[in-house]
Amino acid sequence: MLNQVILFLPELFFLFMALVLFGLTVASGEPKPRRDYHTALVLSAIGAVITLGSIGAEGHLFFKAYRLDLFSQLFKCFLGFGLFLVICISSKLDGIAERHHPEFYLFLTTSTLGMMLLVSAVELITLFVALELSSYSLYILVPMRKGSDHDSEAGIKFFFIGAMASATMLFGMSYIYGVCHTTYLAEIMTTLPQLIHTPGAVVGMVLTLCGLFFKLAVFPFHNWAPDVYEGGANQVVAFVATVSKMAGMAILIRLVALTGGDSTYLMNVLIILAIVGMTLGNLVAIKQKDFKRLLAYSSIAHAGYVLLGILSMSEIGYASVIYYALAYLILNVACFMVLVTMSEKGQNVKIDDFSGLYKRAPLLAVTLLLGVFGLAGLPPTGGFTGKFLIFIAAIEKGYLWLVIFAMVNVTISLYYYIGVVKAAYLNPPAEGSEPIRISIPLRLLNYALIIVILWLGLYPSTLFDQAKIAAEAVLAVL
Amino acid sequence: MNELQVYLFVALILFCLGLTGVLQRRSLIAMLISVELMLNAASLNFMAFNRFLTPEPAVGQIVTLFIIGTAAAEAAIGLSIILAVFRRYQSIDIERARELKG
Amino acid sequence: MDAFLLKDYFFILLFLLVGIGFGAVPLILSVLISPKTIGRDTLKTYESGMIPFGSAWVQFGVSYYLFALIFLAFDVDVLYLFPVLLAYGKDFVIRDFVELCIFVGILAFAIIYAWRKGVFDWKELTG
Repeated sequence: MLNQVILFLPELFFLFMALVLFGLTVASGEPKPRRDYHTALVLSAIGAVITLGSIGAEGHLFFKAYRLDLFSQLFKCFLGFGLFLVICISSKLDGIAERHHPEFYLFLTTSTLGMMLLVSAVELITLFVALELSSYSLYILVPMRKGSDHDSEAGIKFFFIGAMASATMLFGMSYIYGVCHTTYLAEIMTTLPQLIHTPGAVVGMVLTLCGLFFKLAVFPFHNWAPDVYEGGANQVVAFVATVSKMAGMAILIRLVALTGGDSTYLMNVLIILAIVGMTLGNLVAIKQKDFKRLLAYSSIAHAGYVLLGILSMSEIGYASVIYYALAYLILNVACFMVLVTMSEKGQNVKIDDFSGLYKRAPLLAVTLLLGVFGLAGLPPTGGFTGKFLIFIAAIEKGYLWLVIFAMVNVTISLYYYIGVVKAAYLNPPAEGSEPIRISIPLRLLNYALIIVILWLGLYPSTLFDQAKIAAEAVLAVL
Repeated sequence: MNELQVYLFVALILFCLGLTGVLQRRSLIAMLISVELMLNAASLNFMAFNRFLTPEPAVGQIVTLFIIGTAAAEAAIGLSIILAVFRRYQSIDIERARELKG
Repeated sequence: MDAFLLKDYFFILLFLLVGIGFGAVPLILSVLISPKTIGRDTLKTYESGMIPFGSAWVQFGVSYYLFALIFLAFDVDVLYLFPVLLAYGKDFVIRDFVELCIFVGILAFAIIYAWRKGVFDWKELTG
């Protein structure tokens, strides 16, 4: 009993954190944003440490519906730190009315909790409920923005595309259940590879993946991304862009691993989605003026690169996706941190607003440079190493032409990423703009992010070895 | 056509109706109803497979219970967002809410 | 199709016909026996005999919607108690009881939230 509680400790802690924050939402009196911020910050820091400590845990819980292995624990750790980083950049939370700050933290926490359950779930019902817990919290967070005209529009688009995707996913799951006669992934994994050439299994699998394509903003379910990025409050978008994407990648690996790796139909579908997603994302991103919108289209393209790693369906492929997920998290947090610091009243930031950033705040300019170059995939950042690993995995499986295509896309994407850097470094500052003041904790966060980005780029071996062991854990019989 | 196929066929029709509804309808409430149709199609599939194919008697029914429960939560969230849209645009026509573009 | 299926579908057909009959017969009757003139009051909204006033499109108090939403959430969540009923008390009575309490307790948080945010505060909302 006690043993089980210890295994479940990270989730229990985040549940406790949600309860404390719930207490704050119903506390009487004037809103106290500083108190809310510090409570959430301290709790999420403790939570991140607990997830780090539970990395070695292994076992099964809840009638084997819930599995702890290196894969799930590694992702829980990423999620815990992701939440911590997002809360770190929420110290100046102007985008949301002060009386709603506790709700903001509460729903961030429940969403993270849902994702933690998601990466450990090895049973279809558990997986579905966890996915819905994380999505519903996000549906509420997006329309919460203060004084914006677009937040409810973004919220409604997000909600409907999400609801449609999850209904499609359920419909697909029902076919998988019909083909395999069970909801346990372990049993599905033994029967599905033999049946993967039957139409029922292929249709079921593709429809099931739709729910995850929504989370990752893969091509047919990408429409929400630009509008939600533009309409949502900056910090909420930072969460959607980082933590939520990572959970999507994790569960995508888990589900694709079920098919056993030689399904031609599924491969073809994934290849087409990857190609269309990359091209569409990169081409439309070129003409964007709003930085968040640009990041949205770049995220659609990045989902394409991730699919490239996943469709190689090998241990190296999955490991490279895990590595890429972490790099993507850090790079996006870096970009959003600059964005949040730049935006004085929580408004959106245009690319032209970066003009002369190197004079107004040299440190922010360096972080932005590294973040954007990382997303573009230039060395020596983590983004380069992640893409490199994914491309190698794909070439090993004989997808040379696909990798060449992706390289062409990376080159296209350089154009708009460099546009951002050009604005920050070469354009003169606008008339009357003042230097941006950076507080000491924010300065520390800047240094930490710069170090991690470079570390991920230069010394990938330690983490990549862990990722390989984690990928083995997914591929091993569950 | 055997009995299982009849159920699967009905579920497929429901699902397609729901999908066209979400994509075609312009009223937010009608879109919400269409999403519920899609969910019900999935429930029907689970129940049919459970009844005709699987040895375990309860799994499909439990899944359906969970679908009903989450669908209600989804509807509550959806309706509250629709209310927010209505207050801003004085309409539940999706065409009114199309300012975000590019 | 075997006989068993046909018998089942026959009942559905019967039910369908009776249902259509219930709807159609009053409509046909009213067409046959109602007066055919259209006067000033014919097209007015019928509101239980009163003379209608104002537009039907007035803004309702938002509290009505909130009540409806809370009802929607709770009314369905009770559903989960039915499977519990089947398994309750089979092996671990105390554990089952504690788990049930946790479930209902978490549901109760929603009520506390609505209460603290003043949803049940009728005066404030109608004002």
